[in-house]
Amino acid sequence: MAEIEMVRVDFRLIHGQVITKWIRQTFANRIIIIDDNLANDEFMKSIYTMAAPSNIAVNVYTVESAINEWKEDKLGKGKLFILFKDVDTAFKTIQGGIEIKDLQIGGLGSGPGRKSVFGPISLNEEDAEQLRELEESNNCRVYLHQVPDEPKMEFKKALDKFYSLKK
Amino acid sequence: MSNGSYRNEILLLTHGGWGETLVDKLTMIIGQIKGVSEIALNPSDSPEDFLLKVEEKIKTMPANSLVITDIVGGTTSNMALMLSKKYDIHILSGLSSMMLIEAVMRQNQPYTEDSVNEIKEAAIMNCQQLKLPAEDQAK
Repeated sequence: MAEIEMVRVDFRLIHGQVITKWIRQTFANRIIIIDDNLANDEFMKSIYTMAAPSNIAVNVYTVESAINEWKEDKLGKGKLFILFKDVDTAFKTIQGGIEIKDLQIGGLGSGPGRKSVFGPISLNEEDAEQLRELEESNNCRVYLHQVPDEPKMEFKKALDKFYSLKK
Repeated sequence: MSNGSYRNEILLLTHGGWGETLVDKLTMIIGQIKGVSEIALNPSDSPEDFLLKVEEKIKTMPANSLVITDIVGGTTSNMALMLSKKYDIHILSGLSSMMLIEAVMRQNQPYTEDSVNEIKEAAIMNCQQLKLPAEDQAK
């Protein structure tokens, strides 16, 4: 079975912060992107595959295929760095049975209905509720952390911030 | 350089927009720089926002223009690569002073596979570990 080194939600998927910083903080040798749209887009898939360092394999799964692979052989071999583009996909994947104990929220851009809670990281109502549910029901620790050398924030604090901004 | 001579366009794509500072300071070495523009990737930009901004610009650039990005595998590079499917552009990653100098010096000719490769080689050549020569022990 594969070992999960790090799990991150980042709307940019594989990009500068991930390849220059986070990957080197772990022993990951495989990047798994779980995203339904990307899994069905061969061209975009090739872009993200090229974005990863050459010694790191990239596999892209739909939520369903990832859950199936997990049930079959825990996503195969290697040390994994798992990436999601949004909270909803991470939520469905974890609820679907993939055991993720730590979830890093690394990048969620601004948009209508979204509130910045920690630097440029923003949440909307659905994100907040789904992440709360993951912490409460799935025993998954959620934290916000953009780059390693900068401070992180536990989700509880971000949630307080979110609701105080909504008032 | 004669005034009004045609210069092929160079577009810089960098994290936070540091390329603009590079262009500004390089005038100290090569004088006035023209036909170089930049689109900054801002911390709150989604890849889609950034892609739209870059596409708006690339649409207006002639074929065989040069796009220089900062980090290979970064969003700046990933999005440039995406647009190269639709538009005729050359892309170099790893923006550096020498890369930009070489690119600017070739601006009066349309960029080609070969000239872009020469720019790349020049940039690589400029990156060296500098050491004083070892003292000659044989003497």
